Amino acid sequence: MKRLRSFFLFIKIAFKISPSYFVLLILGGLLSSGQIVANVLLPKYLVDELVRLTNQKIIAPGYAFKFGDIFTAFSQVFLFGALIVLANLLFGFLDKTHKRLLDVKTSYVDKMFPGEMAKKIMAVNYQYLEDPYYLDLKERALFAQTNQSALRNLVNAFAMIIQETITIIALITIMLTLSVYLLIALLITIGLILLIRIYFKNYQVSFMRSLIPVNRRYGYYMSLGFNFPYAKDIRLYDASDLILDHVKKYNETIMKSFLKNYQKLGLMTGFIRIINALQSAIIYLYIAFRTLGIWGEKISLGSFTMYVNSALRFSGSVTRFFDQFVTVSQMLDYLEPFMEFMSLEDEAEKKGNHVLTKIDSIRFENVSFAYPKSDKLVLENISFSIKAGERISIVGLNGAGKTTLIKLLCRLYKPQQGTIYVNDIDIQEYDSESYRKQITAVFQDFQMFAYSIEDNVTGVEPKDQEKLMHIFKQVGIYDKVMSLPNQAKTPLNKTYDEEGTELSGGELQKLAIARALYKDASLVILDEPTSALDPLAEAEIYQQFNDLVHDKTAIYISHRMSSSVFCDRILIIDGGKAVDYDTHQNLMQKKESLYYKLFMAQAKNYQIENGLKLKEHAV
Amino acid sequence: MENVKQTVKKPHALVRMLKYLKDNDPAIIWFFVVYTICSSIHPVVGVVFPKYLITLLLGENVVINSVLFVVAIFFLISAVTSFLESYTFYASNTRITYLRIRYLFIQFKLFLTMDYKYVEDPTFGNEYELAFEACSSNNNGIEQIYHSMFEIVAKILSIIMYVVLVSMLTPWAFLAIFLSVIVGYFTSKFVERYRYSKRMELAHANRKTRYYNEVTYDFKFGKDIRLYGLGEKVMDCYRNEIFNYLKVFRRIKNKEYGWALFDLFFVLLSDITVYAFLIIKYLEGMDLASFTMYLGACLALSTALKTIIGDLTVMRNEMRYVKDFFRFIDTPLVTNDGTLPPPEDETLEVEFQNVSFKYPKTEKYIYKNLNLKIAKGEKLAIVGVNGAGKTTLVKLLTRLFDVEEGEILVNGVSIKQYELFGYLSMFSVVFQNINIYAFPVRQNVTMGHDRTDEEVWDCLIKAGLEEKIASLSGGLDHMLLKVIDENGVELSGGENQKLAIARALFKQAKMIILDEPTSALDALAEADIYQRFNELVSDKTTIYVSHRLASTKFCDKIAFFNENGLVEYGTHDELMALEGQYYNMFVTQGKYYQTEENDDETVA
Repeated sequence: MKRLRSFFLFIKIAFKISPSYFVLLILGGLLSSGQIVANVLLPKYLVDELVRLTNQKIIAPGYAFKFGDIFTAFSQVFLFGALIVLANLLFGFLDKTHKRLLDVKTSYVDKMFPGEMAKKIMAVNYQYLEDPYYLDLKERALFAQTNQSALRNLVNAFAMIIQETITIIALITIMLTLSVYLLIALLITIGLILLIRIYFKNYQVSFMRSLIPVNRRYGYYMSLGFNFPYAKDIRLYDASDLILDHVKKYNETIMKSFLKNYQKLGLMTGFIRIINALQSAIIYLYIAFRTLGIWGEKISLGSFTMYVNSALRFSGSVTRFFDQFVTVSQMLDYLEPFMEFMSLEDEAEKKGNHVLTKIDSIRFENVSFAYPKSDKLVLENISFSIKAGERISIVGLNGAGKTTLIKLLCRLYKPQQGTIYVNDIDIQEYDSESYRKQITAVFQDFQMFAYSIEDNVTGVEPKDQEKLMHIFKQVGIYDKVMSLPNQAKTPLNKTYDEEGTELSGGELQKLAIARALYKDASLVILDEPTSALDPLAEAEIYQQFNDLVHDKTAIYISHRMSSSVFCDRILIIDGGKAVDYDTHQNLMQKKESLYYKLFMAQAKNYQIENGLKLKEHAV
Repeated sequence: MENVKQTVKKPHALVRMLKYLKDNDPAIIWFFVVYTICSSIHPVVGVVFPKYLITLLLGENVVINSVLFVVAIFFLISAVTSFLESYTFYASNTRITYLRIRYLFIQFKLFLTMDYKYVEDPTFGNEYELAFEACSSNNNGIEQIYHSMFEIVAKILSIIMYVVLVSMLTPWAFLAIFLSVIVGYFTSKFVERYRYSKRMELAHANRKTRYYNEVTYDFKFGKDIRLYGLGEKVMDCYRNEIFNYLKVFRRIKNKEYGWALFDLFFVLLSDITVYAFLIIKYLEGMDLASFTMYLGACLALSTALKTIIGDLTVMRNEMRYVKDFFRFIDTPLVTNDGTLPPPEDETLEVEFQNVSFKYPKTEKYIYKNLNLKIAKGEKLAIVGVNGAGKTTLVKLLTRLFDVEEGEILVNGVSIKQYELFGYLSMFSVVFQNINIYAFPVRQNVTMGHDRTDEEVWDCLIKAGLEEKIASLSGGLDHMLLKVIDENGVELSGGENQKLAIARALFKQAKMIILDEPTSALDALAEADIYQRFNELVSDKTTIYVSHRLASTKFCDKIAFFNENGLVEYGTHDELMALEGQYYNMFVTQGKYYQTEENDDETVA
């Protein structure tokens, strides 16, 4: 049932990608069965004609062929011969044409399927993306696609099924003109074959399942060798033997179980081949007897050829049909994670009546939150408010829930309890697009795309060169951008585009900040945006920040306590609770507070005698 | 020795593979023999048998028993041969796969041990692109060649039997069939050549679609895509790249289609020849049974020839991968020319002498004529702006890269003269990004160089991690990360850092290098980690790379780098007195920490 649902989902997606693909598949089916029918029928006429020529003594003994006879006494037989040749030509032509069309189409569908999943990943509720279960689900879905080529196999098997179905119908029609008994006999042997296959398939499924964890481990250890970041460690800590030992161990385990599996497969296939031989024997025997007039009406030698051909092809077709059927269901199993992912709930694009045009105030009211599937409250009963134009710093230890708070505000998650208000309206009530437009954030793990620099910064916003250049100057990356071969049009990332450039972590952070500023939202959130910047660049950005954010509201998270000094108010989060919310001056009065301790831990080494001022230096 | 290796001509890749097979799993040869016998007989029986049956059917007095007898013989032969054919085929399959896995292991080992400069060299990947593919799956490269070799002899034998049969009819039929197949071979070769000429374009287009595949599948992009509403745009680009890929693909397919139509003409020619000769021979007195058999033989011959030519083409294509693979494993990628053992001294003296360096295949020098000396037991801080080459210095010292000019001396001896592994054993390096491995805690500390548990615990205690590890149900044997074991534990950032310290402690190196080790930690965790560093460093020579000047001011010496290399060098006080770039950076960084604290100090 689950499989059936998966199957329909698959059809639905495939149909959405390319309806013409199905037309091509069905045409292909018709074509191949047409070819088979021609190959089975035409020889019958030729053979019958040959027999007629002999029986009616039209061929004289000792006859020597003369070219002129093609058009006289033997015109019939050469006509049939010519028909066969022409049919081959015609089907050859159609077949190649169809192949040309289908190849391209298949490649398209094959590429578009991952595309559909990509679309899904970008559309699902964000919370799935941070849930390890769905991360694993995605990995499994990806594994099915890349390692087991499950989608490609499914598509191909599906095409074959259509083809074989049409062929089988044609062949049954022919065979029924001879006898239903032969058909039944064949079906019985075919049934036997299928039973063996089903038995084996079940065995194989459990075999493969038992291998999944082993394979995952093996894949992990192999990945250690093929991934950049580990290379340094492995050399400096001389860890290659450690990894090699693991790989070797898993190699042996996997191979041992594969050996057993393949021996079984060999036996099974062997038995099936014996049954195949039996089928052939039955076919020849029955049809030979019929040619002799035993077990029914006598048939001609031409019909003998025809029936033998169709019966032999029939069992092949049916077995292939079921093979593909098994493949389809197997692939559907493999694709189970893919299908599960594809049926996830999309982020509700809310077309609300509340359109947000400007943020005047933000208010958290008794907000509590725990991540899905977790009982641990990350945020507990948080209440605070921000006025428009304020600079707020959020301070706390690692894991205190600072970033989570931001995610709630960005509507990436919904609070379990309490409400977040913007302009005194629950943020969940706002039209999604308008809400998104008013908030911009630079996260610690921000990502840039392999687009050109300007495309990265402008995103979906309209391009305004002047504004762009202005922002580049503000965040201090203007000179760098101008030094690149194609300036702002230079793509990021070399692996995508040879013309591309690789920027340093600090430069990327500046770009990410530029991107956030370009968006012109009324709230700017910076979640540790300067950790990869050197102190000068960091100081530059901080100094300019008031300019940078203008009259916008701003929220910062940073481990560098110095960044909170120039904020209007500081929210201290400790263990998910808001413990303080005050100005820097006031907080520094409380010598026992977390804020004071954090600040002093960093400040004490920076003390310089009073009166030292920053010298003007060209840097 | 390395040079000799290159000058000796290696035998052909196929010969090497066969020898490898013989050395590693000779049993495959027996499977091969049985398979070849059965697989060559079996199809021919299918062609010859109908002749006998039809002869019986055409006969004047039909004896049912002889029909039964012929069919029974047919059944027996085909049952036995096809059973053995299937069994030997599959039973040898895994053995062949294992040969590939063994080769993959060789490749993997090279990856782990080759000089680090190759790891960071993007052109290295391109140069050996085919080689890396050679062991990647069941149906390409090495394994495909083995499978093809396994099957090909049987196919050749069948073909010889068909050729004999068809030639008995008329050599012309054989020639016509052969011609059509040969033409097909050449046209497919043209197509293949065309495809090959387009391979860069195809790979390029493919890489671009793959990029979008990776980006969209990477959950890390999720936040940005949502906040900036980028989904549509990304999808458009993704689709666009797919269409670009298809454009190239379609051109190849058009070529293929054109040649396929050309082929059809020769297929037509051979069909005409075969049928014309068959009919004429029949008219001239050949019986129907032979007619059927010869017809069957002609069809089978043309199919078999096509298959074998297809196989040969596949083999030829895959051989490119295999040859590249052997080129890869034959290339000396591990440089370890030095012979000196590590010095006996407790700790090291390091000297950079006129060192110039730029990364391979780049133009920009990171350093020119760098001179820098670190005395025994000295703590040197390397500070400066981003991109000034702070980490590069570490990479040169640890021989991950070689200097372009000049020399690096350790205890007065050029580092190249030391035996590589002995040399590396002298350094403990802690990087900003700590790699935690899905191994038990123990091996994350020992990195495979297991000694006693006490020693491991001792390091964990000094790193301040013993409480955490003791609280795990498996203790030292508890698995880290969840990749391998669902009960594995994921440590926090600070704990990871401590684990790295334990790892560095365990190594008992002579010199310590800390490369921006705490930039992702909060202030209290950072302060804690610094305490632990003292454990690690004790009185050993230490290089400390950082851009937090507050944490480096206590070092014995500070080297300040900018784009022009080393510009300021001295103690914190000296550099502050200099009021140069270091001073500037320190003041800038400390600016916001000032007033409050000074007030506070006056109070205290």
